[in-house]
Formats: sequence, C-alpha cells, structure tokens
Amino acid sequence: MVLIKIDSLSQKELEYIAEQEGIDNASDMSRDDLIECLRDLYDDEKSDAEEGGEENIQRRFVSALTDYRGGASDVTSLPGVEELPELYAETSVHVLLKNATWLYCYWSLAPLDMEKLTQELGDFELLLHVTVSEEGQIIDSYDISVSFDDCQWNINVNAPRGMAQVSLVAQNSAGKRVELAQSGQVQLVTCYWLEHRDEIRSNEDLLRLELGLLTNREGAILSCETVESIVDCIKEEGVL
Amino acid sequence: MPKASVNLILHAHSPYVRHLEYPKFLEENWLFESLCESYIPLLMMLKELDRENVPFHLSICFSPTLCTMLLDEPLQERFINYLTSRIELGEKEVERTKSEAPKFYEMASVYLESYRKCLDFYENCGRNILSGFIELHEKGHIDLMATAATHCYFPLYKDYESAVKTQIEVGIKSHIHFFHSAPSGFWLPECGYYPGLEKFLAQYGIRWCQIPAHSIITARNRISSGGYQPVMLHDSPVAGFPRDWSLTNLVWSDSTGYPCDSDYREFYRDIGYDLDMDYIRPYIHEPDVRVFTGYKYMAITGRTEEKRPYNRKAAAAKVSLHANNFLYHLRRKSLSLCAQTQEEPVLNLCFDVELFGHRWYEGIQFLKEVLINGVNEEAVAFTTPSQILSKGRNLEMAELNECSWGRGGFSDPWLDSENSWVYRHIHKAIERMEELARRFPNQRSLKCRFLNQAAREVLLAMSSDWPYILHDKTSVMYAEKRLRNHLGSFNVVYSNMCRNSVHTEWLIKAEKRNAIFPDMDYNLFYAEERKKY
Repeated sequence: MVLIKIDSLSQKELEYIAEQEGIDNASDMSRDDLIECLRDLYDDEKSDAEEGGEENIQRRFVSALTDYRGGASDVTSLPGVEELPELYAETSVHVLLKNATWLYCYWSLAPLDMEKLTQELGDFELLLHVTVSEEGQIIDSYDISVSFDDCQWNINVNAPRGMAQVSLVAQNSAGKRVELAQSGQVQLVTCYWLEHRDEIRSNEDLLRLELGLLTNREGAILSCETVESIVDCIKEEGVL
Repeated sequence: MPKASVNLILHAHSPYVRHLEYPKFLEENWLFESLCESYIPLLMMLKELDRENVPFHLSICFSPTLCTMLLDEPLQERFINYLTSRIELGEKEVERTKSEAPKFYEMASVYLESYRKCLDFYENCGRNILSGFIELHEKGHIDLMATAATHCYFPLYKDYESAVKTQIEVGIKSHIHFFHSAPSGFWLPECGYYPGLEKFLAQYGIRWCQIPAHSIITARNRISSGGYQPVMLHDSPVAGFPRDWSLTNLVWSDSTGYPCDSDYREFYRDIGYDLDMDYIRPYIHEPDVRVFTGYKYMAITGRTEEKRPYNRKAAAAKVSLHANNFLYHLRRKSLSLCAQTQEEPVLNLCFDVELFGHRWYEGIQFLKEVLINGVNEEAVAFTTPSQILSKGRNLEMAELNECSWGRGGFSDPWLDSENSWVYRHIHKAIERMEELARRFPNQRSLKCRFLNQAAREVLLAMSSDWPYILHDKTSVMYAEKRLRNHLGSFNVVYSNMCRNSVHTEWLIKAEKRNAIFPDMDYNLFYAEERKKY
C-alpha cells in the first residue's frame, strides 16, 4: 500500500533520503536533480533484480523515510552465537516452487564427498539433472551444467503438469555419472482451463464469473502469469 | 430478495519485535503506531457500534506474535511512554500552531485529543485490548480466527511437515491461550496455500481459511461456482473462502483505491521530517534519526511537492462518498451474481487491519460507515464464514495449486534474489531441530528449557516478515540481523546438545529476550529421519 509518489515528497524529505543514500551535496541540489539522482540510483540497483518490471519504484523512496535506522544501534547477538556458515558440510539438493514456470534450487557438496568423487571419477563436472514425471512416467528430463562455485540456481520448467525433481550429479569426461543427491518432488502448476482449451467456448459464463473476481473497476486483471495465459487462450478462442 | 453474504475478514499482525536491551528501539514503533492508529481506534469504533445496537459481523485474526507483544508488560509500559511523549508533543504543537501556523491548529488539537483518548481507553481496559475483542466475540459480532505461530509462509516449508504442524499447533494453542476459545477459522499468512496443507488444518479442528482470488480460475479442476461460494479444499472438511480481488482493490489499490483520494490525509508528510531538528529531537529516534511522530497536517493533494492543508470536513465528506460507493459496488455485484447464478453469492473481503487508521487515516471511519449503512442494504448481508458453514451447505471440491496473494500469485516475493539464501539455513535448522527431538525426546528441567528455546528460535526465524522485508528492501539490516540471530541462536543449542551440554548463560538471556510461546514443546518437531538419497 503506497499512498504517495516520489514526485510529491518535499525538498527536505528528498534531501534527507539522498543523504542516507550517500549522495554528496544533496542540500545544494535542486528538487528535480534530487529526484533524477535517486531514480537513477534505484534504477541501477533494480536492474539485476528479478522483479519482472512491475515493481513500484516509488516504494523504495517511501520506505527509506519510514524504515531507516541509524548505524549506531544494532541488534546484539546472544552469548555463544556465531556467524552462519555459507554452506553446510553435507551433500544435498533442495528444490522449491517459485512460480508457475520457475523452480529455485540450492545445494551443497560435502568436502569428503568431493574427495571421494575425485578418486572415483578423476576430473568431473557438476550437473543438475531435472526430471519431470507424471504418474511414474518421465515426461521431460535435462541437465544443467553448474560450476563448483555455484550453490543455487533458478530452473525454468515448461511442463504444464507433473512432478519435478532435481538430482545433483557428477559426470566425468568419459560420461560416467554418479548421482550425489536427489531433491524432494515438487508439484508443478496444472491449470484446468489450460489443459481443456476445447471447453473454453462452452464455459463462457463461468469464465466471465471467474474473471470477475480478478478484474478491477479500471478493467485491469490481477497480475498472475497463469491467469494471463488463460486470458490469452480465451482471446484466441474469440470468447468474452 | 436474494442477498450476497459479505465476509469482512481482517488480519492484524506484527512481527515479534521486543528489544528491552535498549531504552528505545525504533522498530518497536511498528507496534505502537499500529496500536494507537489502528487497533485501539478499531476497537473503540466496534464497541460504539455495539452500544448503538448495530448488528455488525466480521472476522478478525490477531497473530500470536502480536498478541504476545500486546500483553507483554514491558512493551505495554513502553507504549504508555510512547503515548505520553506524543501527548507532550501535541501540547507543544497546539501552542506552536496557534501562533505560527494557525492553518494546522485544528489538526494539532485533533491529534492531541485522540492521543489522550487513546491513553485513557488503553488504561481503562487494563492495557489489554484483546479483552475488548473477546467481549465482541462473545456477543456474536466478531469471529476470532487463529493463524500460524510466527506468520510463516507455508508453501516454502511444505517439505517440512513437522515445522508446518508446529506452526499450526502453536498458533492454535496460542489462540486458545489468548482468547479462551477454540478457533474455527485460520488465516493463511500471505494467503499462502499448498495442496496438502488442509489436512493439517483439519487435524486441529479448523473448518475454514481464506484463499487467494486467482486460486479458483487457475485450479486443477473446473469449479462451477466461479469463486462466489466457499469450496472444499481437496477431500478435507476445510472450506476455502476465495478473496474477491475486484472488490478489495477498490480500497487496496495504491494508485486508484479510495485511500489515494486527494482530500485524504497525507501519510508521508509528518512533522518528524518537516520541522527543525532542535524542536523535534526529543520525539524522534537517537541519534537524530527522523521518524514519524503521528502529527501530519497535509492532504494528499496530488503528485506534487505542494500540499494543501488537510481539511477534515472535505475528508469526512469523501469517506461517506466512498463508503456508499463501496456498498454500491457490493450491491451491484450481488444483484448481478444472483441473477446469473440463481444462488446467493458469498463475497470475501480480506484486509490487513493496519491499512485502516494507520496507513489510511480515515479508514476506521470508512469501515464504520460501511458496517452501519450495510445493515440497511437489501442486497447484501455482512456475515462470517463460520455462520455460512453453520447453514450446512454442500461445498464443491477444489483442487488448488500452490498459491499466495503476493505479486504474481505464487511465491516470488518470498523467494527472490534478495532473500532466497535464508531457506538453506532455515531448512537446515528445521532438520536439526527434528534431529534433536528424535535424539533427546521428553527431556526435563534445563535440557527441556534449552530445547524449547531452540524450537522458539526456529519458529521466529520462519516468520514471513523477514524475507518480505529483504524483498521489499525496507529495514533490510534489521531483518537480516534478526534472521541470523535466531538461526545462530538455534545453532548454539544444536552444537551444545551434540556435546550433551547446556549453555546456561545463553539460555537465560535467550529466554528473557524472546519471551514468547511459554508452553512451547520442542517434541512437536519430532519427525522420522529424513530419507537420504
């Protein structure tokens, strides 16, 4: 919920935010320059984010106002608390559903397993082996080559149904493979209307009802990739 | 005339923020601002409706972390100090505006009066606002819902049944502890649902929860009620009530929602930022960190720097206009759906409580007018999901996909490039907690306390607030520090228990710092050893 946009912040507020963001001479800058400068700053930060272009950039400015805390005070640790390790000394792989088309995968490889593999395979590469299966039948599988420095990956899945699973695999140049760990299974997003496009025409009234739940008074539909795909299908079918 | 049943479902939550090690702590203001601008005004308004015999109905959820803080004596004392400081500032502001800025004098007086009323009300209810909501529940006005122990976003923990079940069980036990009655509704944090979650809710006697709006059209089966009737979640006895995004968007939209109206009070223009440092210093955060004071004199006006002074009359007129417009949209939708479906539709409006009063200054008055005028609406009846289910409807079965009300409809806000790193550590902590519960079951005395504190640290780390703050890039330093502290604290227990020892200094300090879930039982995390592949 954002009730104000950067354009409406006062000179004083803009200067204050700019100072917190480390912009020099903020108090000498004009209002337009401050806005442009801050916008550039956040645009740069945003460019590598996976935001899909819909983030309300204004929110950052506003949040800086409400949530800045001084560097002097901090949350102190309790006795005996140590820094978290970057990775854990175990071999495992985990997968999470991020959205209808992306999985997030993280893994670790225990140093001991690394030594054993080197003895067994010689030089080897690491792979993420992605499998999509349905009712026990594999409907898609592929490898993603990752480096030894990697420990997480976003995986694109195009299958409209089934269960996805990721294995961490070591493979040498002779093609010998050793499966090191396997993730749990993730149920992929399956949508009735995308699976039954032939029924769209005969269900115009129902789809109208369902879309009515998601359409605001300006006619905009709730932002969701799967909903957009359904709307595209409806348009292709020439209904609504 | 057929009527739509309208369920107004409110959710009040704040992460557990309690730093008694500091004389003042900035993030504790999250609670204090919500208390004096939303929770207390909401309770005052609902009690007024009750006194005036308005037959209103709504559902409301208070998260266990929030309830714990609301009844925490040191935080209650700090809230009194917060209000006292606001009153002192108000007295200065009334004097200052009288001579220096007469156009703001009226609002300065209004704020001062409201803080005084708030303090009186708070003291008169024994500093326990929950008792007021219990009273309204007992009178049949409100249905009190439970939620997860620490507002955990369930879909990202679905591989960890023990943790999900602990979140639910501790959440429900906390609800019973605070409200003295078993809940039938359960607020899914962030509307986060995954297939299978319902079976755990059912195990704890939950009969209904809210679900995201798009979960119906994107479901795995055809749902003929189109989202205007509750659905049965898979083959469980738990009903899902789909949120009506089109109606909530009338209020919630950050570009076209009612709160954006130019006559409403501007949230972000506060004297904490606008007045000279020397004057405002005693009321902001040390060292010279400008924060909100609650004294805001401008109207939204438009997307320009120039703001006009807030005009109460103009805003009040807009509130009436918007409340009536909202009821008009409810009525229109009801009539249209009744005609189309030949059934009485169910419309579910889910909101965060903090929107009303805190973010949207006029929001409490808006709710009041909607509830009062709604009584006379022929085409709609405000009700609760529990009341609807008590009529014994046959519900259609829905096979939903994993979903949430976050942007994009899935897990993106809680699993992006800024926050995905946290799951490696939280998942590991859960696995280790399961291991501790297996290796050291039913401990007593010090070891039991040690293990219970470990369980608390895991639950606190699972809060959806931390990854969301990292995603939203707001209080990033604080959220990261909190996560690292909870997980690091858990590791203290894990490493000590692996050596069969107890770190008593840590334990005593940790119990004092995170004084939550007094009946915590770490055995809840018991799970069979995970399958090794």
